[in-house]
Amino acid sequence: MDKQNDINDKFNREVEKRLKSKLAEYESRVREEIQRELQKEAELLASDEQKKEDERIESGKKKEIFYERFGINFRIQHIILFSCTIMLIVTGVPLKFPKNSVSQFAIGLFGGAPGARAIHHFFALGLIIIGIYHLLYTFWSSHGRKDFFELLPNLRDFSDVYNQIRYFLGFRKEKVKYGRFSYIEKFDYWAVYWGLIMMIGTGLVMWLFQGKFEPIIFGEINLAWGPEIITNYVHAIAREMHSDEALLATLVIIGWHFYNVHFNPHKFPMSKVWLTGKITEKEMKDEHALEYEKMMKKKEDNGD
Amino acid sequence: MRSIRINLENGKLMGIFKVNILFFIISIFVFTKLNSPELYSQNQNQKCLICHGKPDFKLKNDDGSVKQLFVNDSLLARSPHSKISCYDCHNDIVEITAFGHKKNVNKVQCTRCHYENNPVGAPETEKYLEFQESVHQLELNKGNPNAPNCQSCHGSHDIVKRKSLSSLELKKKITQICAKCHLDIYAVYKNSIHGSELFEKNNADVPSCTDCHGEHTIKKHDDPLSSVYETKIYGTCGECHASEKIFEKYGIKSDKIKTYESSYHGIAVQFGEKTVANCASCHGVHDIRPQDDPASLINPANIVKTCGKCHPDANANYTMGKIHLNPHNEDSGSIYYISGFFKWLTLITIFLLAIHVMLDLFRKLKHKKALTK
Repeated sequence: MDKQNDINDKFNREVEKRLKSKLAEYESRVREEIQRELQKEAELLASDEQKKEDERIESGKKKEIFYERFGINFRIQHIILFSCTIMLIVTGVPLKFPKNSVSQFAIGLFGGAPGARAIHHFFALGLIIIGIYHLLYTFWSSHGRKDFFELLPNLRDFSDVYNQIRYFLGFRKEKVKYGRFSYIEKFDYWAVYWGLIMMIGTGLVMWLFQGKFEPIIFGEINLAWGPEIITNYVHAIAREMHSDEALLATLVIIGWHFYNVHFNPHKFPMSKVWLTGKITEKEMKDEHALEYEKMMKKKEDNGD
Repeated sequence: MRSIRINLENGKLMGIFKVNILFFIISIFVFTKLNSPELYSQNQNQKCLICHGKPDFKLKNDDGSVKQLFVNDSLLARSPHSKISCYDCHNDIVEITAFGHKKNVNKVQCTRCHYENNPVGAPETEKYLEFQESVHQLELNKGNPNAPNCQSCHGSHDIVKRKSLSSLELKKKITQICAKCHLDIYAVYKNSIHGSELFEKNNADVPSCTDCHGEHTIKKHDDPLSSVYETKIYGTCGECHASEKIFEKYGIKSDKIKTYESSYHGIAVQFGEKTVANCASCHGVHDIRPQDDPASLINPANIVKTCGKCHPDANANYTMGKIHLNPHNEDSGSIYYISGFFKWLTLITIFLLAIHVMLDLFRKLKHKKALTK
């Protein structure tokens, strides 16, 4: 029996021994596996965080602060105004230079003088309507009223012109600080005001003298009483003013307004404010420092 | 070669040769003298003038009309064609018998001689090429029996050189030539300012028919190439009415064409518009009269009616104020000052704005340079 027991013991021990060594082997393998898994997880986690960090940085860059300068209503008014003005210039100014080949081409595009006249009358109607709408806007809209008062010229504008020229020439180191509207913008606004009154006024006189008005889609509008009140002499005066003011307005728009909003090296190819209505914080600080300061002060006051 | 050498060496033969040459030269001389165009044509013309030299030589047509066949020899002798024969022009008449020649004689074709580089030395001209495009030639092509050819205007046997007439005589003659067919227009023209100046005051500055309509180039007034076409007429009138040289004599302003060009009518015309007023729409065509003439279209009593042709709403207001207005002339009243005001307003505004733009650019360029350093 002893012999038999011995053999059994030996066998068992051998089993034990092999089991242990094998288990150890498995254990080490599983351990390695777990370690690898953990490492991978850690790496993934790290890269995720990196990504999030990157995104955060990027979005932080994009998230420059914009300030709304013109509301949608005002922007649409501007778009209608300039569309009408461009078409009126294209169909009107060539008449002042009939011998010029560019004029001949431009009027040819509209099928000669009668076509150009019908299109001119159509956009003239557009200009009259947008002019009246803007008047109502400045009275009834709180934005319009506020901007209207901001646009009124004051003594400060004259000192601004003086200081701006000193800055241009290098006699003044720091930039001139402007409010919501600089003297340039005030000039633009009142130039358009003057232009609209002149052009619409004299245009209506010519229209009444003719006794008819033919904007393309509305056919012919007849006002037979027109010639009863307008004499040929008054018509001639209106025509002279209409023609002269048209040339002045065209030159100011192309030479002055286009420089300020398109060809100016800081704006080229164009200032997008007419589309988005927004300007960046930098532009706000550069061009409308006083308005910015006022805004910040208001914010602080509200915050407190 | 050989025979000539023999002849030259032989004295007798040489003598005969010399006589021969002499005879040959003399015979050529005599022959050419006999055949000189003057002698020849005179002989031939004498033959034709046996019949055509009689003043009462006429032909009665079947329809009863009478055709003059008399050729005035004294007029022909004074014409530039005095030295050529009847046959040179009437080249289809080849046979003349005791009973005369063939009945249906062709019309004379002047271009038989008058073309460029012609060998007979007829005055060279390319006018007949211009004439090909004219309304008269187009009518001839259509077979219009009344349409004129060269001799209808220039004359046939009584043709005279243009240079032999003074410009006054020429202008008067032209009106009479055109009046042969266009008699109604002649009657209207004669009483117009142009016609009365020409006929009553013998003024050679006024236009007669061809000055406006062209000579050989004459076209219908509705042909775009015509000098009196709706969009071209102001330029044709302007040849005189824009000329200071002509108009300073009469104390009339020569800026009428310029002021028309700057009016809406003139502008639209320059863009090819035909329905707007041109010179003739207001002033008339052949019946142009001075403003103080009660029959004038632009007499204050008639002007509303004249404007009313195109502007049905025209009323007395249309007559208040000048039509031919020059804003740069002091006598246009307030318009002169308005025009001046806008001129200076534009110049000053653009000057100041340009300075502002340039200062802005100057500052920005300087700033950029400072940054790049």
